Amino acid sequence: MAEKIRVVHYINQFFAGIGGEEKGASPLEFCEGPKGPGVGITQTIGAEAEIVRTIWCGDNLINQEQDRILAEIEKLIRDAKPGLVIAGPAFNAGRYGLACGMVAKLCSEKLSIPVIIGMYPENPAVEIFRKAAYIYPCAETAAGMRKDLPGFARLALKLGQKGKLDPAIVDGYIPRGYRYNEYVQKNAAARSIEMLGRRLAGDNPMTEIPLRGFEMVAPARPVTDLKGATIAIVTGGGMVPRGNPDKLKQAFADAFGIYSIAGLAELPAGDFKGIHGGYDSTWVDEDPDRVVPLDALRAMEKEGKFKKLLNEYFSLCGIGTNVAMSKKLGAEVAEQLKRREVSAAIYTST
Amino acid sequence: MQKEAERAGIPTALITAIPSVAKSVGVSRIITGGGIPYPVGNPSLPRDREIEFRRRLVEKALEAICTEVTGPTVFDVSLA
Amino acid sequence: MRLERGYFSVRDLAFGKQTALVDGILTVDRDELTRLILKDDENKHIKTLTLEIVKPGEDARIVHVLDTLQPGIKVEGEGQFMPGQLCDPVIVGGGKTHLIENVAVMECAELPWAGKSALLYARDAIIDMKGPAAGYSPFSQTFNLVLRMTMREGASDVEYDEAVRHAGVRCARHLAGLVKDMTPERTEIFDFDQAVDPSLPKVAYVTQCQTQGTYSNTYLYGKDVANIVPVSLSPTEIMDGCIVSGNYVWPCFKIPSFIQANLPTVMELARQHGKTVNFVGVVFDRGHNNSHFEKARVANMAASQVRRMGAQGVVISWEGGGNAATDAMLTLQTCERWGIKAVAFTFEFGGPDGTEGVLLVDDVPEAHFLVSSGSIEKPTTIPKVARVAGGDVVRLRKETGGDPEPADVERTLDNITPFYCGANQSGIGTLAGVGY
Repeated sequence: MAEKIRVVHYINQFFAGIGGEEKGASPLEFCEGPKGPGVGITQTIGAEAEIVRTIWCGDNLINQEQDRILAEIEKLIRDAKPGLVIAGPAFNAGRYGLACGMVAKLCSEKLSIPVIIGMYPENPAVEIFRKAAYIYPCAETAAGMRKDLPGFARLALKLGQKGKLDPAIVDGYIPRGYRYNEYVQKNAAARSIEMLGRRLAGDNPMTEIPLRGFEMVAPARPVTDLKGATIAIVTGGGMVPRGNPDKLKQAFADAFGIYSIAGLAELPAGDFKGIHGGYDSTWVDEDPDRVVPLDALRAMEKEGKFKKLLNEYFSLCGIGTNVAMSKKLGAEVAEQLKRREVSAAIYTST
Repeated sequence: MQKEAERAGIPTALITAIPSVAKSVGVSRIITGGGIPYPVGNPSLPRDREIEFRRRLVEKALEAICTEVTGPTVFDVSLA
Repeated sequence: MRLERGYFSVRDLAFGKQTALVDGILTVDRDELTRLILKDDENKHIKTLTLEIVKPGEDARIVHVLDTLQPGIKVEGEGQFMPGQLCDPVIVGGGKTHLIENVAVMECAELPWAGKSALLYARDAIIDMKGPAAGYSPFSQTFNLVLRMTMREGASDVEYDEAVRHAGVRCARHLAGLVKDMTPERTEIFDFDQAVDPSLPKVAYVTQCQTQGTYSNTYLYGKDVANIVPVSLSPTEIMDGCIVSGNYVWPCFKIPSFIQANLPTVMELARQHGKTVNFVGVVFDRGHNNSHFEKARVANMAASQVRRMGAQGVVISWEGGGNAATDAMLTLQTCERWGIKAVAFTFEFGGPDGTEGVLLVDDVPEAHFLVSSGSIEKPTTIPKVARVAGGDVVRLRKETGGDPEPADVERTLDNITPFYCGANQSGIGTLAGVGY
């Protein structure tokens, strides 16, 4: 008979039978064999896997003394030589969820041991640790234990046997955010018709592409003294000096250019050209002020509407740039604007 | 990109033809511009009227920069 | 309308003494066909035309690909396959049409880049017949007759565009002529005249094309659709090629004519019509509308067509990048607000491992039911190949000079944009973004 997979199970003071919230400072302890929910897990997968050690710690203690506790947990896990680590289920308990996440991160990043956590999908720890471990979706409270434990255990076993899991939509864990191109059985048209068919039959099929929200940033305080302000122009419309001297890319930007407009009352056609690959640049080539409104701003500067128009403008082509790069470029532009003591900036995009 | 400038404390306004994208991305001050290939203009206007339209867009942008907002806000400028 | 499609499949494609289809082998008289195509190019915009054959499984790459067409011919019923292209814009979709299933006519030309708009020029499109990129287009599976063209200097974009399209259409029609009087190997009948079981759900399909000017146009019954108001079409009109593509600007974001006449959503719903669904029709419109107002207008009118057909559910897809996604998402939103259940399929971004930032350029809160046609932000290393058809070089990155580089060498491309049909916007491919 094949050897059973060795498993280490991490739980907290409550599931170890010590006490609830009030025992949050209870020390790190362990025992050989299963304890608490580990007994239920063993009932499901005991033929192929064995919980050789159970570790628990007070939720408050581990959150407050992360480094020390995790170092000790590391040692306890190493000594047990497991092929799999299970943490939780933590349901919607915030600090317990964080603790499970920390243990999981340790296992996946330092120890290279497959690890799986059980948590309620809206537990705040999910967002923080979803990349570090597989997370099996559980009920909100421990009342769901009986229902969730067998599925959790079976998926844990599969992970222990294979080292990694199939796509989230197949194995049912919370998608960690990784997405890879694969050739699947049916083409996109057929899958769309099927998904629609299920909706029309009253089902709620899972989407293949989750919508990701954007981070909201609080607006900066408005300008109070416009007459004393320095204004700058930033464009995502890809207007650059003829010849594109900085060789900016027409899409998937990884850099921006800073170009002088000193002494210019408008951007002269011919000297400046649109290189953005996502819109027909004919109109802005004809009149570059249609995307970099220098003429209007220069006129207002002369009238004293504001103190000064910055003698340079910033430019790149805003298409296909992913969010991480946009943030990086945006921060660099912001840095440059601050150095030039710009009070406010007008952005244009296409 | 604009949100990084806001994060650094520099108020900004965006002139764009697609305010819906700007809103969902979370840009604070959005001016609805002329059109995708000509955000600060409109070639269907006679030249001097187009320059006047451009000026009104830029004025609105400056006005927006001086306005307190709490979240993505669209400022409209009519063509006529 | 009722349409019968008769299919022919070839076992091989080769140059030979005459142009004929015998025993499943299509031979082409190279000189005669070349002369025939050039004869009607009255203004001689095509400087040189060389026919090349590229077969499935060959260690070959095809470059400079513009449009790809299917040889098809109507044997009964009004109009011609690809109506409005070098013929009258007669309404099609009835009678009988014969098609060669696995032969594709490819227009390949290095169209001039001189002094053009930053969007409107033909970016170099690559098809690999084998290797890691072969799955990006369905044309690694077809017998391809490549019309390798060079153009005479001094003409305009509009003229080059017409010249290459007419060459392709003439060639495809000539080949289709071979099967006009032959008996098809198999047939499919699509009958939209019969009454349908009223308990079957009514489903429509919205196909939104790209039309942004010369080199990025789509033609409906022979004319580009810049000012189109969304229109409802019968599935059989689509199958008879009423939509022809002149869209060459972004290789990955295009649906060539061959696929437009065989849109998989249309074909699958048509096959299910009367059985599991009542396929009430197709709505055709354009995206990349230039202002929010125009986008909302097109989106609402498209949704209105869907509602008018009585649809309870709709599949939506589009051609083109982020700008087009906005129009289609607005269409989806209006449908959902009116209680019409919508599913859309689209390519994704996400970066190499899927975790970078957003997956979609634009979406609406109602877009909860989406199907993936794959991420375009994955790198691909294409191998050195024994042979390149269509041209000898690839020109990548016009904005930094666009110097020609050898097309046959091994190369790593950061994303899928240079691959023909790589964003899988017709949904014909099985490439998908899979979440882990």
